[in-house]
Amino acid sequence: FLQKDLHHTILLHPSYFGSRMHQHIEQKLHADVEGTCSGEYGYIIAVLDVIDVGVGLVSVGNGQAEFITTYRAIVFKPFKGEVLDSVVTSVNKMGFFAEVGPLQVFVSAHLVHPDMKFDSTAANACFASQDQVIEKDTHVRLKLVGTRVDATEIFAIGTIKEDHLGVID
Amino acid sequence: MSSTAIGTTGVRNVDEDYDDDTILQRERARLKASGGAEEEEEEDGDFEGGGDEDGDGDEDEEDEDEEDEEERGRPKKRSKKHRKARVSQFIDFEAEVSEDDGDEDEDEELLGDARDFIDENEVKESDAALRALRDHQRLDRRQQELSDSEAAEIADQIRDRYRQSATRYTGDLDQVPQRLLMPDVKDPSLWQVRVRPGRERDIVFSLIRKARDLEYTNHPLEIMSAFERSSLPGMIYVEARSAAHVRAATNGLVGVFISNPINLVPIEEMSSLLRIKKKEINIEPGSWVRIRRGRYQGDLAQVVHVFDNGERYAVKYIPRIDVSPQDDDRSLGGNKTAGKKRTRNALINTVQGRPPQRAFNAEEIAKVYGVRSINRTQKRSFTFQGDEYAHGYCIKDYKPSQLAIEDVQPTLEEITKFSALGAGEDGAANKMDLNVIREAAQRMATSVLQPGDNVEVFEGQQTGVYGVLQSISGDNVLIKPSLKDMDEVIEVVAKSVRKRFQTGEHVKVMSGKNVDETGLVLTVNGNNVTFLSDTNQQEITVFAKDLRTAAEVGTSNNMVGNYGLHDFVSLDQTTVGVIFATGRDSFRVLDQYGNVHTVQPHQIAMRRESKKTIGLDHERQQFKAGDNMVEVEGAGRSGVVLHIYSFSAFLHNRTIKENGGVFVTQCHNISRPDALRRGAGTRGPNGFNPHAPNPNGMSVSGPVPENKGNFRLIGALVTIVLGGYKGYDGTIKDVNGTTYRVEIQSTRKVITIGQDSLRRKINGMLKKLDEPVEDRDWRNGAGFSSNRNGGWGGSGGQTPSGGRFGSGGKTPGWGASSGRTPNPYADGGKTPAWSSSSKTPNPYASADGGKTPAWVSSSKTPNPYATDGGKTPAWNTSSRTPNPYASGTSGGDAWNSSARTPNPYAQDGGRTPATGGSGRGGWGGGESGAASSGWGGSASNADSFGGTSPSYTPSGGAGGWSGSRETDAGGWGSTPAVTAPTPGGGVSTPAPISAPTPGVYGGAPTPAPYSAATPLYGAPTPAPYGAYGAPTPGPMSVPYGGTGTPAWGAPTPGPGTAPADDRKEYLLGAKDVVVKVVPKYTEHGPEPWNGDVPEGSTGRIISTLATDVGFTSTASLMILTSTHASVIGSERPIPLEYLEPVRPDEGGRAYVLTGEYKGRVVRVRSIDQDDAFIETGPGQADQIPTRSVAKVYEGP
Repeated sequence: FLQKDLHHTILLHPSYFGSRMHQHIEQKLHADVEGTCSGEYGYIIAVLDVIDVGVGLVSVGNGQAEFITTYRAIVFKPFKGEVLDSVVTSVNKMGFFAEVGPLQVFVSAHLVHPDMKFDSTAANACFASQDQVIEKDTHVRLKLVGTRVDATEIFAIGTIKEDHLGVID
Repeated sequence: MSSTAIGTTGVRNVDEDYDDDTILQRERARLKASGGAEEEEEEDGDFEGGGDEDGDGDEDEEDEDEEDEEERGRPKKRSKKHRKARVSQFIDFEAEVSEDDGDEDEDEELLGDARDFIDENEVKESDAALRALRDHQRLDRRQQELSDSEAAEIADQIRDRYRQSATRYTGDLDQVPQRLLMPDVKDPSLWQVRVRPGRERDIVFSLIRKARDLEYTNHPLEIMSAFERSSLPGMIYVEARSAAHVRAATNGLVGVFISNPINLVPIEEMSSLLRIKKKEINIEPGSWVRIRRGRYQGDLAQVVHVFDNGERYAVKYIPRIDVSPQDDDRSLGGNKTAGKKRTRNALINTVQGRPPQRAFNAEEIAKVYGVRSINRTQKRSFTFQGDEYAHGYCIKDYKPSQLAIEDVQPTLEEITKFSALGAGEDGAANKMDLNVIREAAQRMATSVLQPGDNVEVFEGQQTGVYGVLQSISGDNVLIKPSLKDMDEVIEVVAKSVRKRFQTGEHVKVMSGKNVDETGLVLTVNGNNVTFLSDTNQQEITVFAKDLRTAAEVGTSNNMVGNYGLHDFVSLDQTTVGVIFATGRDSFRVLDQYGNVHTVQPHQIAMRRESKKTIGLDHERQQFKAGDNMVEVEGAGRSGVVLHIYSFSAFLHNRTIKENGGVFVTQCHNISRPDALRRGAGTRGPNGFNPHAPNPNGMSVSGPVPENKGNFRLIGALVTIVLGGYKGYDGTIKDVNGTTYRVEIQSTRKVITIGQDSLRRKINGMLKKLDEPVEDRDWRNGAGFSSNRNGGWGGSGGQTPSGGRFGSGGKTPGWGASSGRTPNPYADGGKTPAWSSSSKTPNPYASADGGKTPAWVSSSKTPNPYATDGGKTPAWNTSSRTPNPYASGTSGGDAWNSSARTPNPYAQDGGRTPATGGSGRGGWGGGESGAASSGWGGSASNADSFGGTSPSYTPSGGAGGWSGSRETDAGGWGSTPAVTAPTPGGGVSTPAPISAPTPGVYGGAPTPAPYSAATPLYGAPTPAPYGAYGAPTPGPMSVPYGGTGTPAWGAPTPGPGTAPADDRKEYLLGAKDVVVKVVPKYTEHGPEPWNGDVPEGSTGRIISTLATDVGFTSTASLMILTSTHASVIGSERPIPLEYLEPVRPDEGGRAYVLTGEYKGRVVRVRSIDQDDAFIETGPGQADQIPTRSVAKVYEGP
C-alpha cells in the first residue's frame, strides 16, 4: 500500500456550476477513481484528500468544464515477491484462487506444498494435508511470484510452497 | 545430382549413386571437369594433321626461313635446349631454364676464352684438335639439325612441349577452379521439358535406355544428358545443342507433354539446377519420420530398424484399422465386387476418409474381421492383412522415398500419443522416445535462440550456468552468466543451451498448437514449461523453445478474419451470440439462449454493435455495455456486461471457466452490485445534475424517463372490486402484464388477478391502476417537475378536503399535468388546463389573448403543450387584465372583457359558468367557481356557486382566481415561497396579479420542494393548496360570500401562512424532532447551507428561536448523523429554512407540525408517502398528511 499523489481529469456538466461545484468535483472524483486500477499505480483504494481541484476550463462545444485535480490516494500495487494474506475464493484441481482485497491471486497446484493434495471428494473442493486444509474462505499467506498488469486489472500468481507460507489461523 | 539418387535425397553419399542416368551424368560431369584440356588436345590433333598434309606449302617455307633465322641467331641455345628437352623430359622445366641460362653463359665464356686463346696464344695441338673436333662436331650437328628439323617438326616440338604442361595440369581434376567448370555459350544448352508430375524419374530412365538403344544407329540421340530434380516436380532437364534434338529425344515418351514448349534454361541458372544441398541426416533406430503417402500420410512413425544400408527402413506407427468395415471387406480374400471395394479403399486411403489412429487390439480386430484374420506370431505380435503388428503398433518396411525424413518436427501431442501406446511396456522404450523428443527439441532450440534470451546450459562442462545470451556465432553461443563470480562471457555449444524461464514470468507461445497464448509461468520442469493462460485460466505445458517472454500485456491476437474475441455477432436472423473462444479458423459462440456454437467466420452473418444499447436491470435502472452487473437470481454470477441484445445480456467474468467466462442472462435478472448500497438512481455526478435548477421551470427539458411499466405498482394498496375476492384489500406483490399477484391483507393469501378487478386504494378512494399516479417517482425524488406535478396531484387528491376537493381528487388532471401520458387528458380532460398553463410559461409571455378556446381544446387534445401554448394565454389575458375583475363589474363584463378573447369563454362567462359543468365547462366551471370546484369542476360544484354569477362577478373572486392562477403557475415552476405570497397580494389587489406573471416564472423553477416532500405538503390539509394554489382554494372556499381579499387568507386556516410555511416556521416550538439539513429554496434555486454541517446531516432540534419577520428563525440542532464525522454530536444553530423534518417510522412517535393536532406527540400507526395514521388518543386514530408529522428523537 502506498500513498501517492495522483491526477485525475474531471469533466463537469455545466449544471453543476455554482456554489457547490467543489463538492461535486470531490464527489465525482471519489466516484471516478476509487476502486479503479491502473497498471502504473495499481488499485486506487481510497482518496485521502484533494490537494488541488485545479482550474476549470470550459471546453468548447459542450460546455463542460475540465478540472485537472490533484489528489492524494492510497494505492495498492502488488509486487513480485510480496507476501500477502489472502482469502481463498475458489479451489479447483489446478490450484486455488485467492483474493487480497481487489487483487486476485492464483496459486497453482504446482506451487502448493506437495504434501497438500487436491481432494475433490470433500464437500468443498480443497487442498488438504494431514494438518492443514485449504478450501474456500480459508485464510492463506502467500507470496507473489508473478503479476500480470492489465489496463483495468492486476492478476497475480502466488506460491505457498515456501517456509512460513500457507494457512494462517 | 542428388536428385537422381532414388528417393534418398541427402541420405546416402552422392558417390554411391550408380544409377544409369547418374553414370551418364557423371560421365558428362567428368568431361566438363577436364573440359578445356581434353578439348584442346583434340584440336591439337586436328591441327597437327593439317600441318602434315600441307607440309610443303609456301607458308611452310616461310616458316622455315624464319626458323632458320632464329636458329642462326642463337644456334647454340636452340641445340642445347633441344638436347636438354630430350634428355630431361621429366625435369622441372623452370629449373631447367635457369640451369640452361647458366650453362649457356658458361659455354659462351668457354668459347670466348677459347677464341681469345686461339687468337692470342699458340694452342696446343691437342687442344687444337679438340677444338677442331668440336667445331666439326658442331657443324655436323647443326647440319644434321638443319636437315632434321623441318618446320613442322619444330612446331610440333613446341606444341608438344606446351601440350605436356597442359596435360600435366589436367591430372588433378579436383582442383580445377570452379569457374572453369561453369557452362558458357559454347556448351550445350539445358532445356526444360514439361512432363507429367511424378513421372520425371521414369522419363529420365526412358531417355537413357533410348539413348543407349540408338547409340550406334544412324540416328543416335543428340542429347548429352538428362536429369530431374525432385524439388521441381513436373519437369525434366535435357542437355542438348538445340531444342529440336530434345524434341526428337523425348518424342514418343509417355508422360512428356510434347505440346508444351521446351524452354531454354539461362546459362546462369544451369549450375544452380545441379547444385546439391549437402545435408547429412542420420537415420537411426528411434528417429522420427513421417509417412508420405497413402492412408498414413503425414502420420508420425518411428524407425525401428535400418536395412540394406539405408535402402529400407522398418518403421512403426499407430495403425488406422477400419473397425467398422463394410460387409464385403470382412471376408478377406473373398470375391467382392471390385468396384465397390476400390471406392471404399480409395476413401479409406485418403486423409479425409481414413479411420482414426488406434492401437492395434487383437481382440477387437478379431471381433470385426474374424479370428482367422489374425495370426499370432509372438507373444504380442500379430499379422493382420499382411501387416505386422506388435505392441499395438504397426511395423512395416518402407523405402526411404516413402518417408519424409526432413522437417519431421513431431509435436508434443503426437509423441505423447505415440508414447502412450508403449507406456505399458518397459520404460526403456519410453525413455528412448523422450530422449528423441528432447533431442529434436534441442535441435530446434538452437534455431530459436535470440540474443537477449535468458538461457541456461544444461549439459557439458558449464552445466548449470545461466545467463543472458549475447550473441550467436554458428553453432556456438556467447553467454554472459548471471552468476556473481563469473564475469567473463563464456562460449558454449548452442545445442547444450536452452531457454530459461522463471516462475511468474509472463510468456507467450511462439509456435505450436497454443501459438499466441500468453500466461504466467507456473513451473519449469527441464524443457517443459507450464503456464497459466491469461485467457481461460487453463494450464498449458509447452516446450521452452516455443516460449518467449512477452513484454506485451494481455492476450493474444484473437482475431480470425474480421471477428475477434467477445465480438457480438449475428449467426442468423434470430440468433446472435458472443464469441468467447477463437480457434485457428473457427469461433465458439454463445448465443442468447445459452447454446454454444462452433462457427467458421463465413457462417457469421455480421458483427453487431451494442455500445449504444441500453438495458433495464432488475431495478429498472439503465445499464449498458461495460457496466459491472451481478445476477439477482440464480448463480449470482457477476461480470462485466459485454453486450445487450433485446432482453438478454452477455456478461463476462474471467473466473468463470465455462465458455471462456462469458455467460448470458436476462436483463431483468441483473442489477448493479452496488444498487443496495447506493440506492437506486444515484450514479455519481455524471451528466446532468438532477438537482440543478431547471432554468425555465419546464419539465420537458429533463431526460424523458423510460416507461416504467407497472412494476411501480408493486407494494401498492389495492382493493378488489370484482370476482370472488371483491371487497378485499391487498397489496400488489408482483406484476406480469395486466395480471397482478395480490396479497390479501386479511388472509395473507396471494392471488393472481387481472388488472380490471383491482382498484388502487388511495386515501380511501379507488382509482384504476392505470391511472397515472406517479407516487413512486415523487417519493424517489427524481425531481422532475413533471413527476412532481404528478405527485402533487396525488397529494392533492388525497387531501381530505371534502367533496369539492374530492372531485378534484378524482380528476387525475393533476397527474396529467405531467403531460407524460396522453391518457390523463382523456379522463382528466377538465383540469389539464391548469397544468398546461402552469407548465408553459410561454403562453403568458406571448400574452396572446385571442385564443381562449384553448382551454377547451386543451382539455380535449392529448397534447396540451403543443396546442395549449397558444391558447392558454386566454387566461392570461384575463389575468393580465385584472381590471375587469378589479373593476368589480359584473362577471359578465369581466368575462366579456377577457372575452375579447374567444367566444367560448365569452359564452361561458356570459352564460353563467354553471354550464361549465359540462365538459370543457370544467373550466368554465372552474372560472366561475373559480375554482370553486378546484378545477375539478364537477357540475355540482359548478352549480353550487359557479351557477351563481355573483360569486363569480366579485372582483375579488375574479382577482383571486386569476391571481391564483398566476400563482399557481408560478407555484409550479417555482417555489411556493415566492408564489405563495404573491397571490396574497394578488388577491387583495388585482394589481399584483399582473406582477407575478413573468417574474415568477423566471425565478420560479425549483420544483425540488415537491420531490423533497417538504413540509409544504405536510402543511395540513388545505395548506398544500395554500402553498401552491393557495389562491385558488382561497377563492373557492371563500368566494361565495366574501370578496376576494379575505378569501385568500381564509381558506388556509392556520397553515394559510404560506410564507411562514416556506420559512418552515411550523418547526418553531418543535423539540426533539429529527430534522435533516437540506438546501433552502429561494427564487434562485436551492441554496445550500453554507455552515459546516453538510447537507443530508440529520439532527435533533434542541430548541428553536423565533424571530421577527425579516430575520430567519433558527433551530439549535444536535447533529446525529453527518458525512463529516467531526460535527456529529455537536450543537449547531441552523436556520429553519434549511431544515426539513424527517418522516417518522411506523410505530414510532411523531410530532405533529400542523393541523389540529399541531404540537402533539403522537404514535404513528402506519405511514406512507401521503398519509399517516396517528393515534390521537386512546383508541382513536386519525389520518393526517405525512408531511405534517415529524419524527421524534427516540434516543440513539
